Amino acid sequence: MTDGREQLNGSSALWASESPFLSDGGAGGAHTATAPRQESFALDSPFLSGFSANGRAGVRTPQGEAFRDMLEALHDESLGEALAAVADETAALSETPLFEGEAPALHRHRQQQIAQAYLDQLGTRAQSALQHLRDGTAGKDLSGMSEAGLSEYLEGFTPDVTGGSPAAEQFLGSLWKRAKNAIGAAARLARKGITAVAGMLPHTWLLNKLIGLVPMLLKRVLRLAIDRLPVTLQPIAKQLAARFLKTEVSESEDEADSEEGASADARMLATEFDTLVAGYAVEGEEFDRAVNMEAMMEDRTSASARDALRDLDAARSVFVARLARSDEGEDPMPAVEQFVPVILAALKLGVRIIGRPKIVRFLSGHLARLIRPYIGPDNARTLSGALVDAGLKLVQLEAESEADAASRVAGETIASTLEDTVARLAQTLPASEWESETMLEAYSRDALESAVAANFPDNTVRTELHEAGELKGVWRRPRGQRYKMYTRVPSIVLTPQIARAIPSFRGVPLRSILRDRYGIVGPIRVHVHLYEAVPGTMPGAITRAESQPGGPESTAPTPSSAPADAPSTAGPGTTAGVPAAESANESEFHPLTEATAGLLLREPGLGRNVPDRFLETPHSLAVGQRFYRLSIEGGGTRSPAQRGRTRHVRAHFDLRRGVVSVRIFYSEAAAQEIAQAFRRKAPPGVLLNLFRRVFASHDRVQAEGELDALRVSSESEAESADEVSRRVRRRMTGSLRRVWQQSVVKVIASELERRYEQLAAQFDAAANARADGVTVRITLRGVPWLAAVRRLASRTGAMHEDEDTTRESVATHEMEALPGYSA
Amino acid sequence: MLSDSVARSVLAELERQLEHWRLATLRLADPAGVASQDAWQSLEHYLGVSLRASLAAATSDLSRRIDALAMALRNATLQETPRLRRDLLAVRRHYMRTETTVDFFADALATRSTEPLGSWLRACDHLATRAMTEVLEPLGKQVPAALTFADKGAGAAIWKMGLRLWDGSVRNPVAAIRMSRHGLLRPTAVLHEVGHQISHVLGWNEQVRVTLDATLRSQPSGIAAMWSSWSSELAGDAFAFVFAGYGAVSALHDVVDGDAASAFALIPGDPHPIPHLRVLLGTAMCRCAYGNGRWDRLSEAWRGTHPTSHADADVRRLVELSELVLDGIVEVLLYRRYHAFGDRALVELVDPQRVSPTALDALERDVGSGGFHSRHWVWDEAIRLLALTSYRTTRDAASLREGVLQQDTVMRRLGIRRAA
Repeated sequence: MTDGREQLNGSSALWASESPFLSDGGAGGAHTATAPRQESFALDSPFLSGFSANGRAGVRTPQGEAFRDMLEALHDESLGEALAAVADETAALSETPLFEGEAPALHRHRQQQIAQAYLDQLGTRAQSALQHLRDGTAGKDLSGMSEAGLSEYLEGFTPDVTGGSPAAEQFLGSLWKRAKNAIGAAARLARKGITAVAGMLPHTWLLNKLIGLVPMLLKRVLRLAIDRLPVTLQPIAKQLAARFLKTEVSESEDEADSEEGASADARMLATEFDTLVAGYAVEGEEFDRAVNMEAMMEDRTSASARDALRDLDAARSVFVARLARSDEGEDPMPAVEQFVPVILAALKLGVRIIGRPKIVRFLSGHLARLIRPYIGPDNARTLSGALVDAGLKLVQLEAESEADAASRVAGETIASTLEDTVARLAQTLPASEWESETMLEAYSRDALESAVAANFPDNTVRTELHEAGELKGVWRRPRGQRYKMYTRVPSIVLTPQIARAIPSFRGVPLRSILRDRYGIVGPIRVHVHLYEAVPGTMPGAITRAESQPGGPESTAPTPSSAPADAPSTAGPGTTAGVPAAESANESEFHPLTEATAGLLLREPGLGRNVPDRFLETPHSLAVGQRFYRLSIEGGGTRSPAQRGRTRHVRAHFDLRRGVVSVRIFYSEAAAQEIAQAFRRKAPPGVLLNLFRRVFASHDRVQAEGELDALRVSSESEAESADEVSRRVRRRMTGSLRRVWQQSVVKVIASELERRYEQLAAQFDAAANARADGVTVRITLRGVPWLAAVRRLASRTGAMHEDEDTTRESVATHEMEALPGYSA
Repeated sequence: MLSDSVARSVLAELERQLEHWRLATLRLADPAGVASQDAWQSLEHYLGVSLRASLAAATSDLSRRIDALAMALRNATLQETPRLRRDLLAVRRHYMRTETTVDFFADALATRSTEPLGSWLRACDHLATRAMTEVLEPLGKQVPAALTFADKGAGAAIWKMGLRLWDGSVRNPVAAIRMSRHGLLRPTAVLHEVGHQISHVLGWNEQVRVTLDATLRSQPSGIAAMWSSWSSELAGDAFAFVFAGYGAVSALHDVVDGDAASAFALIPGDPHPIPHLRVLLGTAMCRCAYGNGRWDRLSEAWRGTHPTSHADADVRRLVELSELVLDGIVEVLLYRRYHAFGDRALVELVDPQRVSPTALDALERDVGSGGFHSRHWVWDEAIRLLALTSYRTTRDAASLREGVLQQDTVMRRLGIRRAA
């Protein structure tokens, strides 16, 4: 008689031939089809379990109302974007390899010194700009001024934000804007009789607080830049917000998401900053105590995790060295068992597992068994030979023999495969299921198959697992870098038709980016550089690495599908990437989903699908997410300084006030096209088509999901606008999307009919201004479909595709054209 | 015949001298010694790469020669001393030629490291590249990289890509265009120089020469030979005209104007036409393409200032006979189909109607008052904006000031570079 466990073991033995490797399959000949890979349940989970509307509903208080008003007044996305750019730049500046045998803490200290020097300088400039504003407004009672009067008064203060890097300029500009928003909001509170402090003008007091918050904000940036772990930024903001909203703090829907961020999303720092500013404005000095307490708690909990990535680097070196010393057939279990916990520690989701040694041992044993056939010098030589065939340029390090180099490369490949496997496992197997060995084995088998297909050369992997049909390469981590790149750099002709069908971050069609940023309209030959995010990947570090000596600057022309081991694979053309000091942004990197990889390379398997929230900006990538950069052959494209913004549609559904605000930024090219049509007295219909083209291509590209910047201010006291916005965006059906766009189009049509000349003059003036592009601001009031949005915003009320959302009529509206990118 | 002891001394001296040239070559090979980092960064990436590669090839060729001689000196017999001395002198000459090559680019790069001159020159690079792309790309030819630099003098010049440089071993990796400082105010000359490069790539010069010779064969003696010898400059003028219209003709006029001697200068072997005929050929192109216009005033003023009676008798005869065939020459240049152009005429490759006064009026309306600093217009319509501002400068002194200011705005925007 056998018990269930024995049966399981027996079946395990039979299925041992299900290794993803070709050699195993060939030996066993048992290529029984595996069961279709199960999707993680977490992906389909609505995340509502445990959340009950009753249990978490906030309590309305005047302070809570004031706090929310303040948060709304402060919000604009520019500070989040700027902080992401500064963090990226800081990470790139402080990027320095871990020396052989260097203690992670010492390495961190070195990085910290470099980053600190840069951020100190930035902080001083920011504080001095805010001091200028404080001193200029000192003694002036702003609460008596009208909104317009206050706005005009503040316009009189101009900060000096120029002279630094683009990221620094962006940060100083957006902080300045935040300060002005804060002053306006504080004045409004004062008019309502809410003053946080007695005996001092509220705006002066608040500006003093802002000045004091700058070092704290930059300290967070520093940590994010050099530690990169998805640090717990939200909790501190949430804990503090809970003081006013009287809610319980619990995991947000996104936090419960099983996808792993490659590094923390710097935009969360802006949310935290706003919470602090709003808290001070409402509660005054009293708020200080709470802030200090939360900061202390947060510091304590995250200090232990801050070296996880450095520990991983060190553990990887040890693991590779141990494998290199191993003989054929030697059991790698001890090495794997030591390595796996460190991999888990570098993953937000993995941290929950480390404390369960039984699981770690089981997983390690399972993985060790699968990699065993690749241990030993002969196997290493065979594997490294296959890697070279797959495009890897085998570089011998100083004082390294050819055999040593082969062993090292083979070891690195196995290490990379294990890291990839564990990351995939953590992302697919719900934490609650890790106790089940059956589940763990099934999922780890799946994860290993995918990881092997990505990291091992195709001629060692079963055919049905190959990622690419023709473009055969491997994903390889350049030495000392925290990202992977594909060893093949395909050269393709990108036509406008294909570019139009490929969405970049935020769903902006690639064609718009090529047109708006690079001035490219026709077909163009490009090199496609493919990357994969690993824990700690920040785009700025990639551009930095690729512009270093040995990078594109000193690289000989690379043939169309040349090998690419080191981060020096750019072709001979003008790289559409960026020089070291220019921060990477949406326009340099683009997400490589399966659909995109199919269209661009005819290799869908090289892409990887990720949740929508990782398709917003390259500053927030998932571990394992793939993305790419184009470099353009020859000259004739714009230099980085000549590149402008691409178009951007932002909508704010204010459910509390029943107002919809839409800001459509038309790129310089699109704006000039519209201005030209106005100057030619084009019929309203022609102009309407030019105005609404911004939606047309969005529609075509985003069949799967709406990715416009959408913000929803909910009536609920219990949730942040960010959370509600994500929920609405996720649930928004195609018909509702069309309806709100139609409402906007209708407003433009009616304005063109009603006041063509006036609009033409306004648009002409905006287009003639020195700023790039034109923002059209539209405000709608009394829209009937807002009820449907309200339902989506509630935790329980999903929206059905067939729900009647056809009433797009608008009660009242305003429309204006403003120069440049306007908030 | 040298005695052994003298030969040994000579060999020792040769070895010592060779070390000098080896060290000098090492210094020459350092990109930082050629130009500042800022100047290198002012180049477009691909331009910097190909320039560095060419300079490296030139110096490594020299280095190889030095290394070979060093080895020969180490293993030399005393009898070989005279030959080795000749080799050393050859190395010296090679070094000097290589240094001339390096210096040429060093000087060129140096002019690009200050602002706003750097922006203007980068803008010229862009104008040149756009113009070459427009013609060469549809014909399946590679578009050369352009490197513009500033120098004194009245006119512009080009060192065409592909020609051998001074060191004799390396081909010029870029189309190096020299612009005069005043020429940067209305840089239509860059289009003339680009015309040379295009004609060189397509082999048009030779076809124009043959066609002119055949067309003018029936004319009195000397006319056909004279005009066909000017074919390369005529090709440059024709390209400048189709790209920039009357503005290019007016700018050329301002450069070649001078006293009677220079207006009617006929220098044997000079590929440049007699200035008098060059100006009138330009106005004839305008008349053929656009009918009557401001060029009639220019033509009238020129003839008034430079009556043929001021020319020498021989030249006068040639000039007067040539004036009668100017329309025919315009036909050969603009409207005749050539194998080099894929059996198309120049106007079919680059339509001069895009820069006719009427088209430029429409462009002016379309771009609005902000067009000259708009990234979009400046990038997409760089050449037509140059045509527009150049055309504006032809009206009167006040309009010239206005046109130059507008072009300055365009150039600064087009050549903008943020320090890395």
